[in-house]
Amino acid sequence: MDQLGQAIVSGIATGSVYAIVALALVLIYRATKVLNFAQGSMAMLTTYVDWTMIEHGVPFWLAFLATLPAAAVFGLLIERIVIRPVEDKPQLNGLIVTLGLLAIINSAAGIIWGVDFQGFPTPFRGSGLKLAGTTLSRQELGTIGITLGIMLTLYLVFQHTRLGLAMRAAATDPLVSRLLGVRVGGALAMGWVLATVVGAVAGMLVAPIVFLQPNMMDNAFIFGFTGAVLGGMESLAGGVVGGLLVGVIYTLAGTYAGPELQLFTALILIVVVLMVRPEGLFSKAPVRRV
Amino acid sequence: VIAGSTPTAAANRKPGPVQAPAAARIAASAVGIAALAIVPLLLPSFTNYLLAEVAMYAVVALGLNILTGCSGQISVGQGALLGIGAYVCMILIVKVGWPYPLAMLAGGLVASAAGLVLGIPAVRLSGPYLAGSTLVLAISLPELLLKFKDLSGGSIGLQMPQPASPIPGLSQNQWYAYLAMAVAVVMFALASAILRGRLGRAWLALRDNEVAAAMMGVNVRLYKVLAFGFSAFYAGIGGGIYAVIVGSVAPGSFGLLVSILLLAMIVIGGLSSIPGSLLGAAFLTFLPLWSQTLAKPLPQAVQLNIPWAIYGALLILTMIFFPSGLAGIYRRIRPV
Repeated sequence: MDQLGQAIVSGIATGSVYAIVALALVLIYRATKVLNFAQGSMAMLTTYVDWTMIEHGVPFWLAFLATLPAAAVFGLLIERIVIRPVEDKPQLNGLIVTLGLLAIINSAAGIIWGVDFQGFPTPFRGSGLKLAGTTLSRQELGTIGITLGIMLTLYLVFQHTRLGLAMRAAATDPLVSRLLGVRVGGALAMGWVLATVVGAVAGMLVAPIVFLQPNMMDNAFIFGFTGAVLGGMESLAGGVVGGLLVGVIYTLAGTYAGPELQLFTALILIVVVLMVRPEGLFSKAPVRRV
Repeated sequence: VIAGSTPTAAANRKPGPVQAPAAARIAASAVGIAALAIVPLLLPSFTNYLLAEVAMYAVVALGLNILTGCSGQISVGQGALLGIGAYVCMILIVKVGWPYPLAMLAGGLVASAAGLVLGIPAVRLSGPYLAGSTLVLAISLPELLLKFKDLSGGSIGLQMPQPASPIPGLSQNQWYAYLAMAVAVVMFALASAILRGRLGRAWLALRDNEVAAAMMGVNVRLYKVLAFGFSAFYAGIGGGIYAVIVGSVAPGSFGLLVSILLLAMIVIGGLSSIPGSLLGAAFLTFLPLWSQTLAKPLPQAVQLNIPWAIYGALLILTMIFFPSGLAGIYRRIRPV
């Protein structure tokens, strides 16, 4: 029982990062129907920016906060320059553009910062928390806390601001939204801006654990993507639940199927869930236009 | 003509495989094959090896293009299917002692069976969800290979001696080029025959409008899974070529990156275009080499990383300026 409890609690902690990456992917997919393969690379780049500031003596949290607007500008530029031209093209074209971005960003990071692993500071130090026979480290607690903060912020933005309303409207029906006076292009671009900011946070949470390196987000991206698919690519709540579930399933697979087949078992379970809910857990009933 | 029987399908219809009149097609093929027969004799050794590699990727890309371009389903597990073909071929040659042509065919068939299994979720899933479920194979294949290390050779993989050319006077790489190109010619001919037939029409109908296709009597589930099996056969045969020309297989060679490279090949080459698969494969095989040559005079940190940036920039520029790929450029300038 302790083993199960510990697996679930650690799973939620690892899953928090996947949940954030999933949120970023969903934000972009909802807005522009692009599967953003460069999400991990974008987060990696912003994390390097953060690291450079810290290396130059900027306090951790100040650097953290300064990274967010930088990420926002980065996301906006990407949307305006390379995504906008392919928005009305087949879905695969957008995906290939993000693959191109991934190559460029990784290459740029390699040129500017090199490919060696760098240590990354964490503000969450000290002893962990023991709760009903399970242990959570400070890092895990911090990650869960920040994830909750992001969820709450996104909820408030989407449900209680005009911008959020415009973004929801533009994603649901661009044509009608435009007729009603919503600036659709801007609203869709905001999807990329928010996603890049959210992704930047994920990068800064992952870096202390896996060390800073151009490929550091690879795993988080794959699991975040799986989480987004599991929850339903169009649903923010689904992204969070999907990401957490992937974390828990993965840890459980490690505990009960052994580390050798951990990945395989976890992924098969996820495919089984998808077979039952083909459009993700949080999807509405699929409608087919004839 | 194919799915044009409903107005929506006609409006949404994307181009099918390019079709020329039969006589012109046969003449063009004859000229093409004659050219392929001469070219390896004129090229330097390394270029011949690259030619074999292009032929290998072209076969696998063609298979993926049939799946994605023609039947409208995405797979990011194609690199793993290529790996399965390569491993099966290698194991049969090294551990069982089969002759390599037979082993290559067996690799194709086993990959095809794996593709049918991979296609089962496709009965219910599409778009990013299907991508997510095919991702499973791409990222868990290395883990499975390490688990069954008696068969797969574990993390070191397997090696085999280079098969000698049966034609005297050919260098090793010339022989590879001929072998790979011969296989590719057969596979391209097979694809163009099948796409013109009942199966191809059913796939195009499925892609353009699933509901309409079902109403016309296409068994949607069966044909979706068949598309996976068929494209996996191509991946497996490509894997056989890989095993023979590279001479070794290792778990790291068939990861997600290969699947992504293959997707890039068909989109850059041109979705649902048979010649596009070849163009995409050739372009993305030569591109890294060109960008490496370009980067030669730069400082080392830049030199190692810049080819990727050039690669990425070209992917993006192609998608922005030629959204229907290289085959689309050809279609645009072709005299009517």
